[in-house]
Amino acid sequence: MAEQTHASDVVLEAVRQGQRRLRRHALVVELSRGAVVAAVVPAVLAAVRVVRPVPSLVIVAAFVLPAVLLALWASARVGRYAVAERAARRMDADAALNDELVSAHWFAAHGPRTDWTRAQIDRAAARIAGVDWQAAQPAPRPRRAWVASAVLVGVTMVLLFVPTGSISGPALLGAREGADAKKADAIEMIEARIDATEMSEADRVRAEAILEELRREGLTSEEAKALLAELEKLLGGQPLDADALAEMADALDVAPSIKDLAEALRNQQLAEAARQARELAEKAPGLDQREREQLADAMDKAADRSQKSLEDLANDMREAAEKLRGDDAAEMQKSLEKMADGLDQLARDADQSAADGLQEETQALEEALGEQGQAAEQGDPGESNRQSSQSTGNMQGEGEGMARESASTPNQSMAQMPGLGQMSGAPQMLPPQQQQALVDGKRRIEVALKEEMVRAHDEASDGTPEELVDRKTERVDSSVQYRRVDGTQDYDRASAQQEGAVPESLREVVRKYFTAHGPRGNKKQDP
Amino acid sequence: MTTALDTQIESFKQQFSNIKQQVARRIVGNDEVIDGTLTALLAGGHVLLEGIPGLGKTQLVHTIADVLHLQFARIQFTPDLMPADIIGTNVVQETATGEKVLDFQPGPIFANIVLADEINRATPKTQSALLEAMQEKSVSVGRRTFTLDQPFFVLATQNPLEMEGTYPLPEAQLDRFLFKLKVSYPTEEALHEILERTTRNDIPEVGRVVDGAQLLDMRRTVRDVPIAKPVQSYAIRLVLATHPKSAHATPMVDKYVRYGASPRAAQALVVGGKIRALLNNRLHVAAEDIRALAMPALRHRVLLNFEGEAEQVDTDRIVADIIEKTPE
Repeated sequence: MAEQTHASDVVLEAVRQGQRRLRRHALVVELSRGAVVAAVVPAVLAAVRVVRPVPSLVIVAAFVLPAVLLALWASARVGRYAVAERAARRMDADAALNDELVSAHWFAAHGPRTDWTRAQIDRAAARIAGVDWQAAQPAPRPRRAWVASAVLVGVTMVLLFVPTGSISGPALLGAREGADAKKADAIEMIEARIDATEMSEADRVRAEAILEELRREGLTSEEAKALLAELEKLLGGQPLDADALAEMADALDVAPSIKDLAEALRNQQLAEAARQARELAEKAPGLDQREREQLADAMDKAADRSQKSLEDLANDMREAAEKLRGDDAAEMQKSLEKMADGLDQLARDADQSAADGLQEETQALEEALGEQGQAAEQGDPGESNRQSSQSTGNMQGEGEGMARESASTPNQSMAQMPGLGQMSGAPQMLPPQQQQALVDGKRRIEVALKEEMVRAHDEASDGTPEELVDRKTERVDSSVQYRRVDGTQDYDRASAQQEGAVPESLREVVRKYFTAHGPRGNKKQDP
Repeated sequence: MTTALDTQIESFKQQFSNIKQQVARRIVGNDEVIDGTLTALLAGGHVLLEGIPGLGKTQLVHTIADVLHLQFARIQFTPDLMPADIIGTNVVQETATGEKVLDFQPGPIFANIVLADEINRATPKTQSALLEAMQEKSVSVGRRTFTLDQPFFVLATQNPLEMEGTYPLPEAQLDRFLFKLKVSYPTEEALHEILERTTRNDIPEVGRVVDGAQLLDMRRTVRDVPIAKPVQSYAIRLVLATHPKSAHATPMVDKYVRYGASPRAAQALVVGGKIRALLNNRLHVAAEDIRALAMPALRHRVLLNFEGEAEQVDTDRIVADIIEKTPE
């Protein structure tokens, strides 16, 4: 019995060892194969990075993600040998044991223990003891995969040390074409925006003229800024009337007690202006009558110089001026507080309006202008393009700088650079891409509906398209008259089964065919 | 313990070898048919031999009966053969006292080895007279049931060419045959040997090397051989693969087969595999044994659908496809 237990243990241990060995081999093979695929991803990205900038996060992800996927893949593949029977079968096949190990392992692990199974396990144990498993299942060496992976990793490393944009020639040409395409896309986005915005005919003509100007080659950074600012005004994206505010500020400057408020208005810093107004509300009751009169006059003058867009602010100023001329300190403070609230509201409206402006389009256009400048400066596009290359080349850093600045500048810069300032991180109701998608989608649906209406009208001349849409579905008889085919079937069967027509070996098949397809029963039914 | 088993196995192999040697004295070539027939005999099953006339089918059965020292009966199936001609009938007998009684006269089925020659020439009614005998090893006449002597072995033959006036065996009858073996035409060399042996005065004699009791002992030995579940699973998968729309079915099966093999096919594969393992001096059944027996065990159990019949698909092709595509 002890001998038998020993034989069973030998068999079970051999399979356990085989299982470990197979897992090890599978891990090597799967990792080697998968590594080639995983190494391709960072290599491609490193190659792309040479001709155009790629965010660092993407490069890190290109290394990490394939590695994680590779690990998951390998563990899943190695898991195939988690079942001992599978390992035993593989070992049996590799050592040409003709299922002896499979059977012996099964009986050793599950029984039953009879004289026959014991004899079988003994025999198998003796046989597998003589098997050289290193020779039967040699360790895999996927050299091709190793070489391929090493080459890819090496190339990736080399490429990562090459500075971005250092390769000229065709790659540069591609970059330039890409910049042109990007500019065209940005202008197309602006065009769509103009189409979707309601404006007077004169404004539309001007907007289209600006668009043509933007398309012109050799556009400088300053020109682009000015055109975009003007376009934003036409589209209603201009949050503040800078000239009107400056006029108001000039009027207020005459009163020394509100010089800071005037300065804030001049700089379009409405939040700061509101703060100054609140400070004024606190100290106004302490001012003497002459100072209050001077203050009231300045405010009245400023209100008179305001434009329609600042009408509310002007009214608040007039009311405050009136109260300042009176003696009621509480009313005085209250009116100035109200003016401060009005300034706060204006500041919020300006932020919101800025967020709804041509943010994305402007950024895209400026990026494109920057890339064009970069490409023109690095390459030699030829005599015909020399002029434009020079002009856009000057803008290289400027264009990129504009984009970067606008992307990172807080609200403060909006006041200084209308239009570009709208690229700041102001709060947004909907991302511009989604807004645009909604506009485009609506337009497509309208066109499709119109086409459908016209088609329906053409097909049915009785009634207008609207009537057709509202008309109820009518019931009609869709049944089809049944026609008996028994006669044809009977004739076909009779002729097909004639001895001369069908070979003898196929006669049974033909009979079965007609039996299967013929009408069932003898009862004749009237159609 | 192992020594006793070794002796038992050695004895089995020796007896099988003796039988085969004796059969080979009369039958030339056709080793596969002889092996298949002897395997079915040891497994306790019956065999359907298919081949054109004159290939030695009847001679083979005669020889086996002689070698095994068993009672042999031959039934020539014809369209007018009646069930009573096979199983026997009650006849009126007069006793010594003058009393008349019904006495059962056993038919040719009451033998150890029955040769049902050209079985497809009899009507289905007569063919079905063999059903109970083949499966239950008993015969019922009136209200009485007679148990047949063991071993009981039916070896039927049929001619694949002459279809006029024949009655193809019903599926239930076919399923009762453990194997269907196809007797092929002898090679030129084998024909020389056949002529040498059969055109002289001295017809080779065969010796009786195994009797009925020894044959039953051999059957018991066969059934003692254990089979591991993974190997048994392979046999089951092969059988399931013959069923259209099953998880293991091949596209060919799905296209041409109406019904697949019954569990009797799996029994045939396993028992046949055990015999083959013993003859190859193994204590375990290998997938190779199952594969080797798949063709004779499955070819007559695969029922073609209309498309298969119309395209005259050979069931051997379907079984070969199954063997090729079913993983171990």
